[in-house]
Amino acid sequence: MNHTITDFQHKMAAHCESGTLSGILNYNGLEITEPMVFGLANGIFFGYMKMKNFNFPTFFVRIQPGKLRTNIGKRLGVKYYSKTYKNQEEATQELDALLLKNIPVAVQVDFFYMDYLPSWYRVHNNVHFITVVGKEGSQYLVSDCYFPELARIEQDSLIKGRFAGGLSAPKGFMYYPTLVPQDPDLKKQLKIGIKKASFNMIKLPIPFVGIKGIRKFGNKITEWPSFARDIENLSHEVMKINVLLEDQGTGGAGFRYMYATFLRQASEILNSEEIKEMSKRLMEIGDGWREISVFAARMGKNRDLGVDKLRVLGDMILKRADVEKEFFTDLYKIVK
Amino acid sequence: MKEKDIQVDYKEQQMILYAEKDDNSYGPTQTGSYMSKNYLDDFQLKQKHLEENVSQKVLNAENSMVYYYMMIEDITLTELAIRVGLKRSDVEKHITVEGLKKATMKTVLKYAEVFNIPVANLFQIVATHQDRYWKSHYIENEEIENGLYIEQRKTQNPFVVKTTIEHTTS
Repeated sequence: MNHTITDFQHKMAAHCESGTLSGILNYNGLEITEPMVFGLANGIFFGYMKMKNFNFPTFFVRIQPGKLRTNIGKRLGVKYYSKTYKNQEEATQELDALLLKNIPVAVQVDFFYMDYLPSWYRVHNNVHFITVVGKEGSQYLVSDCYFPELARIEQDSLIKGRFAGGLSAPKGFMYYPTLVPQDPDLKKQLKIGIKKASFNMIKLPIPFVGIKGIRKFGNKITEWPSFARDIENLSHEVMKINVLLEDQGTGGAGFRYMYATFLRQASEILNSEEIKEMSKRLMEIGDGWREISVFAARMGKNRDLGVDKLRVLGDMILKRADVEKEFFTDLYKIVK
Repeated sequence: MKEKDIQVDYKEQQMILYAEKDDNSYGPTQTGSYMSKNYLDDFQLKQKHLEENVSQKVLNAENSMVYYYMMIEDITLTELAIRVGLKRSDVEKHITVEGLKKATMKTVLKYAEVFNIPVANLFQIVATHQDRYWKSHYIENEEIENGLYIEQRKTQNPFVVKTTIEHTTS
């Protein structure tokens, strides 16, 4: 099979799920930016937990994978065709058939098998999203937001990625939109999205999410040495704070810069100076997260990982909890 | 963050960050990875030390190659068990030499599939040109000595990989 959807416009994006979704909605006639997808879908979040699938405690800075798509469906009235598979051959055949009909298809994959990306960058992570836009012989052409141009991947590697096991296994998941409203009423939905995001950050009664999650992160980081097998392992995990906040598809500062951009765009649609001011505040809050990223990277590199230094890092994180509590409380009041 | 302050010159890993532009608007900007540009060598050094450490355990018969790949690919016992479709306690046995002796060939194949390696590599430590596709600390100059390198090609047979010595000029 040799077929490429030539009018699909590949664009890099900060985050795979929001970037894939905005790309596929743009293709289907709805002009929407990545920050707008992220913000409308109340993507911003925080959580800190120790899971048995990970050796170390981890934190996350966005809502559950897949929720951006479903929330955009609810907010904008977008309908999707989505499917998981047990049979790899059936999944491949259906994908090929859709490509022949000029339908770009978003698929969920394990990032590790996306071998067009540098090997140091790839980790086992089952919630990476890409858009398949063509096939030439044994290779698929894919639009991956983390890659500057359309990438080629062997069918074998794509299948491995789509059917990797483990936590959040993709099970061949794919989707494409079947109904995309061209002129949705954004004003009401923007307020709902902002309110929900603020609620999640300040009001969820769960001790490890939202502002409580940031506080838990700040308080617990001094315990990290007890999880490490050696100093290099601890260094690696502390440096991963930078990777998780900056490099792994957040747009910088753990999505704070992207959400600030969303608020700026929302302020223009809602004609709200208040929200414009909030976008500026969040950009500054993001700078504090970036300082944490840089500080963690330097600590790790210098193997300066004593409890005193970890406490300094923890205090920087706790300061973010304070300013974000004020920020999201004020934001909630504005849209309430 | 101002756009100019966020720019990093590193073409090997490009990314999108959001920043404040010169005209005070906010928007995306393409840049290189700060982390990879400044700290990739440190990451690769740590990975190299880890590999030396786990290789030694394999050579000393303390652990099997399942352990080797589990550590290098940074997968926990629990996660590996789910990916292979076994109980955690089974995988715990398979990371030892004695435990792996009792694994079925079907299970061994499954491990190879999850690690994305030829099954033969669960029974040998071999540095090949194909390491570039999975090893996060792959450094080309170290692998190629005197213009020679080991090439490993998959075959239709899931048990067999064709391994040859190649010359960089060939």
